[in-house]
Amino acid sequence: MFSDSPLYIAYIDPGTGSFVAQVIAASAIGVLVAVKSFWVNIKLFFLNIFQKKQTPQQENNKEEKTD
Amino acid sequence: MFWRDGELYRFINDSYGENFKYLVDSGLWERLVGENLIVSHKEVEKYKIYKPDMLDFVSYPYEWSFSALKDAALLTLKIQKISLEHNMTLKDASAYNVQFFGTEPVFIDILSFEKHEEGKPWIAYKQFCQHFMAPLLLMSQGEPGLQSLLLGNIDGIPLDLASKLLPKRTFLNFSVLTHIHFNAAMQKSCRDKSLKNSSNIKLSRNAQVNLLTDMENLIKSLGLKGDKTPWADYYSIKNYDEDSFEHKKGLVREYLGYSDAEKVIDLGANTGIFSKIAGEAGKYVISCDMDFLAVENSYTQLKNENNKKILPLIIDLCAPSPAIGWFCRERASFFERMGRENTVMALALIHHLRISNNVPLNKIAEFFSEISGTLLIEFVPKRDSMTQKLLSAREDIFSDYYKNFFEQEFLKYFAIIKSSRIANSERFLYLMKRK
Repeated sequence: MFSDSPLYIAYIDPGTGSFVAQVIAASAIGVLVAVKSFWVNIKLFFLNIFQKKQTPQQENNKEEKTD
Repeated sequence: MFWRDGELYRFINDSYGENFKYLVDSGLWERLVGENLIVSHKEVEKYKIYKPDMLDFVSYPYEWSFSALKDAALLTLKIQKISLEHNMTLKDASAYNVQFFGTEPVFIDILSFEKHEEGKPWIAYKQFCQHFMAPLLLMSQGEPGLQSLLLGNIDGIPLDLASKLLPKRTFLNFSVLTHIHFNAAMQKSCRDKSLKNSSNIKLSRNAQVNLLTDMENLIKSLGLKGDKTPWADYYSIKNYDEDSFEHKKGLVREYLGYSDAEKVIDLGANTGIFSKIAGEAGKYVISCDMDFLAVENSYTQLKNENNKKILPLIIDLCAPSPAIGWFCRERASFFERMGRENTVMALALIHHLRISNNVPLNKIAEFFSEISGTLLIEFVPKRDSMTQKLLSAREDIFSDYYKNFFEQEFLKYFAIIKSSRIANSERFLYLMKRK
C-alpha cells in the first residue's frame, strides 16, 4: 500500500512522540529494575549476616536439645 | 492471500522476500509454530507460497471477552520477545493479527516480522498500546463495556482519549503513567515532528525487553472487577427444576445428532452450558451472548479446561458487529463471517427478541432462515415465569406471541423435524431444517 511512499519506515505510523515516550519509559523502567535489584542485593546482604549470626546459636540450641 | 480451488494460500511478495527468508532461516518460524504461538502453514513453494491452517471462525477484538483480549496481548508480547532473540521484530502489533482456536490465541500474520536493527525502538509500541493496553485498562479500571470503543476505532483506541477516560488515580501507577498518559502527552507534543528527525532515537535490546516485561506485568495484573450483570450468574438462579433442565440438555443432545454441520452457533448462550453439549457432540461452537460478564465467565472456564472447540464471543443480536473499515470490506460483519449453512441454537432467546426488543415473529423467522440450515429453537410461552418477568415492566401488546402463531411463521421458512415439550414446563424445543 505504501510502497511508493517516501516514508521508508511507514508500514504503520509509529508516531514520533511514541518513539520518544518509549525510550524515556524504557530508561525509567531500566532505573527501576536497577534499583529493585540493588535493593534485593542489600536485603540479601543483611539476611546473610543475620543468618550467619543465627547459625551458631541454632547449632548450640540443637546440641542442648540432644543432650 | 489468494484462493485456488476453494483453498486459501499466502503468496510472499518479492518486496518481503528477504525478511521472510530470514524468518524461516533464523529458526524463528519453526520455534513459534512449535510453541503453538503462530498458525501453522504447509509449504507449497519454499519462500514463495504457503497454505495456512484454516481457522474455524474469524472473530474480532470488539467481540472478545476481557480475558481473551488479555491473552491476545500477552501472546503478542511473547512473540515480540522471542523475535528479538532471533534478531527479528514485529513491525505491527494489531489485535487483528490474533485469532482464536476456541480459547487458544494464535498469531496469524506471518508477514509482520522484519529484521531487527540494533538500537531501533519497537515500531509497533504505539499500536500495541492502542490495540491492547488502552482497551484493557479502560475495561479493567473504568467500565467493562468500554471495549465497544474498539468497534469505532479500527486502529485501536487513541491514547489521548484513553488518557482522558481513565480514572485520575491511574496517574499514580507507574506503568499506566508511562504507557498511556505520558505516551499520549508525548504524541501530542511531537505531533508536527517527522520521524526522520528522530532516527537518532536509540533503544538497546535489553531496554526493549525490560519495556516489554513491564507491559507484560501490567497486563497480567489487570482483572475485570465488576458488578454482577443480570446474566452472568443466570443459571445459578433457579429458572427450572433440575429435571426439566436435564431433560432440556438431553433433547439438545438428541437434536444435535440430526445436524451434520461442523459449526454450531449458539445465540444467547449465556455462560455456555449448552455450547458445551454441542462441543461434546464434536462441533466447533461459536458461543455468543450480549452480556460481557457471562462471556467472560464462559471464556475463563473454557480456558481452564484448555478447550479449543468453543469460542465465546460478545454479540448483541440487536446490534451485531457490522462490516467496518475501508469500503466496509476490511472487517466483515458477524453474519457475513458466519455464513448460511450452520446449525444455530436459540435456546431461551425468542421471548427476549419478541418482547424485550419488540421484533415481530415473522421477522424473527426470516432472520433465522437467513443464518441457519438447521435450527434448534426453544419457544418460551407467555405463562413462563421468565416471560412474565419481561412483561411486568411493559404493557402486553404481544397478542401474536403464542405457540401456534410461532409455528405458523416459522413453517414459512422451515420444516419442523421434531418438537418436544420440556419436562415440568410449558416450553417447547424444536428441531427445524430450512426449506
